[in-house]
Amino acid sequence: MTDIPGTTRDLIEEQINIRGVLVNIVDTAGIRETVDLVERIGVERSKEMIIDADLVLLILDGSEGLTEDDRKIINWLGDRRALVLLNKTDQPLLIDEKELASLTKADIIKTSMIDGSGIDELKDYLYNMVYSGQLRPTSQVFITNTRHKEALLRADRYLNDALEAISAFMPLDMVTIDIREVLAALGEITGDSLTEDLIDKIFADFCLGK
Amino acid sequence: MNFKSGTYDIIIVGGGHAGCEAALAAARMGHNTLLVAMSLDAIALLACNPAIGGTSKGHLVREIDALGGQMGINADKTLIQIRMLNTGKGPAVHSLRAQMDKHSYQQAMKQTLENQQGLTLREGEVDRILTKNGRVSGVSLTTGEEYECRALVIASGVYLKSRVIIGEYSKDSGPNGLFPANKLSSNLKELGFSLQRFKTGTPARVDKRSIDFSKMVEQPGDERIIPFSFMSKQIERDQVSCYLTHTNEKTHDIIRENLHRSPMYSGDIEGTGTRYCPSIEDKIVKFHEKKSHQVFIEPEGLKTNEMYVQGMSSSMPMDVQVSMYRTIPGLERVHIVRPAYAIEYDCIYPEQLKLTLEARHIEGLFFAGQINGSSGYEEAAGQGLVAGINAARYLEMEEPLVLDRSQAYIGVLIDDLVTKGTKEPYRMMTSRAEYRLLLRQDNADFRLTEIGHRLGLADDKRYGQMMRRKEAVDRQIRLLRDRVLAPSGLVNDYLKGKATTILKTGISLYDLLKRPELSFSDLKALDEHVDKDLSEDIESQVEINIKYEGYISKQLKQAEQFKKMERRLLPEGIDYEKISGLRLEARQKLKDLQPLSIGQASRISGVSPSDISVLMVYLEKLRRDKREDT
Repeated sequence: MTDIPGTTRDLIEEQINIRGVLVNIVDTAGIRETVDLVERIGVERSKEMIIDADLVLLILDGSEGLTEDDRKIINWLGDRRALVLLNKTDQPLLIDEKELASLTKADIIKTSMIDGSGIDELKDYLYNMVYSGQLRPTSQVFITNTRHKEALLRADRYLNDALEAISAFMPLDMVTIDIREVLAALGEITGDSLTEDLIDKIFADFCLGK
Repeated sequence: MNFKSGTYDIIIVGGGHAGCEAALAAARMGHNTLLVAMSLDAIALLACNPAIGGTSKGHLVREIDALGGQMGINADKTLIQIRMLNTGKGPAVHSLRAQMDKHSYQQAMKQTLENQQGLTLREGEVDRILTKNGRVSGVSLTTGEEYECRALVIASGVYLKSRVIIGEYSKDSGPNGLFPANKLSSNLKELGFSLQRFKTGTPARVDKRSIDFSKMVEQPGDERIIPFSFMSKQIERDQVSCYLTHTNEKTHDIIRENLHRSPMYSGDIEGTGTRYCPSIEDKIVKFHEKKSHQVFIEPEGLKTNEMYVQGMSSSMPMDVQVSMYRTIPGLERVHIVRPAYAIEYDCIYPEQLKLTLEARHIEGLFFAGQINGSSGYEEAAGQGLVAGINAARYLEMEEPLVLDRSQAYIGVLIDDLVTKGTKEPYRMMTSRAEYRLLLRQDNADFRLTEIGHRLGLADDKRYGQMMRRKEAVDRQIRLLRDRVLAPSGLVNDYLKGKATTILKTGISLYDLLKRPELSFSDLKALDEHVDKDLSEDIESQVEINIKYEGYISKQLKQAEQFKKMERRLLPEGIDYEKISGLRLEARQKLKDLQPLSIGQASRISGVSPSDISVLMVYLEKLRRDKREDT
């Protein structure tokens, strides 16, 4: 990666965990008018990604004024759920915040990736979005395997048992018995638990021959 | 010159806690047994703490007793204080811990050995294990004697190439100034065993008359003595106290200033110590934010002024020991009688053993105790008992005793050692047991006495007593189930007083006892038909079984699930090279460790769940092939 605009052409995907919320972050190519064919493909893919995204993080370089490209993107984003990160606050700010606020409906957070300011605010923002129900996961989780469904239900049941045991002031050794069940159930999905009938299932589901 | 000195069925090398249990078990199972120890004065020496039991260790003692071992009986004879620990927590972690009169404990055990039919004692140093065609055939002593045997238990403790270190000073020595065993180490190497080097340590012993107990908190024993052994009758005995005091910043400063003189940090000690029983300098370095550590002053016996300073184990030079001990409240003028020291020693990698404690590559050769990398008297005794039993079973060509993780702490201990190995002296802890609600100290006889009886180790008297106890508990539970308490003013007033819900309809006493606010004594107050003459022991059994019934049955189910994997046996001589799909590391580990079952294989580090699936598919295919062949 370089700091020359236009050099990110592939999408870079990374998962991060913000206080228990799993966030899929996609770093797209910068969106700008270009004659370079390769870069244009990158820009097109970025646009598709933005349409699918639950939230767009628009990062503006605050150490430079708003560019023509920036304005176009803001315009193009329209009503899409977005958050503007006014970055590089460690340097003198050349973007007029009031003007920026008048251009977009999106919230604005000032950040610096150098001194880390605004990062906590950003995390709070993402976390709150999920837990205030504003952001519903667009891709819903489907459990297609009945065995997994059954295991999840069992895990849920034992979690409730554990909570009950705690509120009944049961000794911790009792609570751990339920927690162990929860782990065993989840382990059946991840493959970490050994169960006697696993083998029968393997033989039933796949043809292993002799 | 070597000369033939005699023939025995089984020889035990070492007279510590492992050796004693092994020798007694072998002899009691009817085999002509010889115990060779370097010093007969050091039989069952409590080389460190003058105490037996403690959290999870008390469980081990009860299990040893339930199987027909000796430690619990002799501890009861010679204890001078006993307490049930963790009574504020759930029943799974209640544990007995007793202070011993060290000398009396040793004497009692020596006498038990001396009077045991079929057991002979011999003082001497074993320098070689003799083998013939991959089987044990005897031992030779440094003095030239050769004894023949068909099974051998090595329980040599911390004596192999042992070295005692006190600051800048060190000498080749066993604990308490006893001789080290220098020959056996190299012989074990010649026989193909890999050895590792471990370290342990002990605090100073101090003169009682130089202690100001008024600055400490007295720790008396329990009012009612609950004995270790299921066979011991009610014990009435005057108990002596321990005393609690604390280290402070001054103590810690002295240690920090002198850290460069500690052999642990200067590099003079190469052995690995245990994290769970650290020296005081280790504690200061690792928990540097803690301003104070507990120190217990424990009597070494009734006929000595020596006191054990628990929590202050150290390998610091003498001048540092004196000045740091003297910063502790009550120890300002303390006189050190015996210095604290660290000791390092050779032990084997326990992965070289089977779950029976027999060496994988030499038939009839068993190992038990600290030589296997464990620490603690009770851990040693538990292994000794199993090694002794299995040496006997080997000669009888009978199925060996392998206790699994859902049956006993002894099972957890041995499985951990031989399946996972250990990188530091292994200490038992309740957290190591997955099924600890089942493995309580109070039901060890229900779990194990029948097994001990079948082995010919637990006698009829012990078996009969266990059965009677069991019947009494079952009978009470049945009675409480059948007996229904009707609501009445009197009853409800009583319940109100206990801050529990009043009755609107009848309720069985069984269900009533499930309420957390009520205990068995409340049932006695509420219903005149409830047996008033039950022993406290039976009452508490009934209470535990009813109150935690739901959890006990849940854990039983978990244990059953676990056992299914333990029962999927891997055939002996399985060629792991030929099973495709196993990862390289797993293949190597499985080849080295030759696990008994799928269950054991799954606990080997480096064998992943997917390797296990591969193994299970392999086994299933093997089974189906067989079925088609017939």
